[in-house]
Amino acid sequence: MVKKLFKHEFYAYLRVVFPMHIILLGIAILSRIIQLFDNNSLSYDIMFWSSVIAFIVGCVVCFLLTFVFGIRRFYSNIYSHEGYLTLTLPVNPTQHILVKNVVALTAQITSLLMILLSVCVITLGDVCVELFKVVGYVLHIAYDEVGQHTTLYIIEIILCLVISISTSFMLFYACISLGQRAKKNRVAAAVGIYCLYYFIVQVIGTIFIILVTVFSEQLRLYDLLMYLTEHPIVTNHIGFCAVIVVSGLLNLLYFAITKKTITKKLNLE
Amino acid sequence: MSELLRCENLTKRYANTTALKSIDLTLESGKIVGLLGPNGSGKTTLIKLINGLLTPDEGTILINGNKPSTITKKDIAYLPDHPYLNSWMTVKQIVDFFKDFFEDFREDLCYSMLSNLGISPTVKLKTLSKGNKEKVCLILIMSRNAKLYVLDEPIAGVDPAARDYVISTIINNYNPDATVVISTHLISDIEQILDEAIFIQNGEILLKESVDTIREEKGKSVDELFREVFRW
Repeated sequence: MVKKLFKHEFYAYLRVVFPMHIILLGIAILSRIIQLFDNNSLSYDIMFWSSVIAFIVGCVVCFLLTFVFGIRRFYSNIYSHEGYLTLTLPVNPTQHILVKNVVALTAQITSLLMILLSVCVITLGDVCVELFKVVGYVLHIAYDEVGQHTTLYIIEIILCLVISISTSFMLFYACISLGQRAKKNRVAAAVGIYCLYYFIVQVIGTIFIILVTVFSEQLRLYDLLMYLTEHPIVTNHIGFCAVIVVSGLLNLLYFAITKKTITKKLNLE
Repeated sequence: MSELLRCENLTKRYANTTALKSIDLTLESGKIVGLLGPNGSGKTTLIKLINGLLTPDEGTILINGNKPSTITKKDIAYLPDHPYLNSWMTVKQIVDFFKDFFEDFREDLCYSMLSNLGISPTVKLKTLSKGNKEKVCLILIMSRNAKLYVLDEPIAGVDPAARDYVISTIINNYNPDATVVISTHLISDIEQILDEAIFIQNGEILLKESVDTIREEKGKSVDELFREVFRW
């Protein structure tokens, strides 16, 4: 059943996200072709900058729309009238949530890769070569400085990115699910819960910083800071791993809230 | 006939309202049952509980001996009281969707019914009229060879000619070993196909009787008895 869920979920994304990628790539190719006719004229400048602005707008729209579609797809497929079919399929809520999250994540990463590919296309030629040279140079320095830790950093950064995107979707799923517990105006309730959540996170963060500052001596923070400064490689690894672990734990929490709502508190309109 | 559905002390509350009050109910397989009651009587709540779309506050509900779960969802064909389809899909895509998820789905029967209605598989669902959308929903559900069909208000808001179509689609295509639960308040239209009638009001079962018994013992049609019981 999970395979079939994946199949239909990917198809639902494909019909929206794929044309968007093609359009973005098309704008990049068009802009690159315009660059071939560089003759220092005003008409060239207008066309060139128009195509560049269109490309930048296209990249932003592609990234944001994929994210928004991921959230909308979850809401409409689970909690709108479509939920009457989705939630009477012989599939359990865990499978529904996981498939939705994995496909949304895949679509988001694909959109990021398409943006990178489009950047390569629009800069095809000397600029693109220079960009790759810069990346190669940075990697070369990194390997010289910290050796094989660079590979670990790359893996950790990719993991951070993947888990953070997944958790972002899961947070929206949880807010939408909590909003469903309201009697009416459920979408507005979900937005309210999301805003409230960020307010609480900010308050907790501020209190944490104040407490750490006040009790820095008792916590021997100076010694800790000295140690971390003297051992930057360890510090970086701890930093990345902390992001991965915290994000992973939050992901589980949001998943639990969403599952609980679908399993126990469901009441479709 | 074996027992297909059992509700014991089934209670469901919404905030300050009790939608179902300690309902005890059993349904046997191989019958067409009318779940009859005025608007707000608790019909849809009971149907949602059967389908696992709501969780009971008290009591239990068993379908073929199992609580609502992925196992029972394989056995139940559910028609909600409003269209539930993804409007961006074509008819063929929604048929494939049902074929993928329900092992008991009869694809040939489905296409035959769609063809009789003149609905092309390539047409998008959003381009269909409201009436045709409802018919496609019914066809998809009745194309399943399910053990329990639960149809929530299948003839509400439908013109008399379409009502005949809905009723004939139900009786010509359901699995004879299965039970069909039809929720409605338009009794006269479906009375002739019912084996049993359940009267529900304010979340309580007022009556559960075979249609023949109602006619013989009370000397009334189900529709007449319904009007008498639910008189304002």
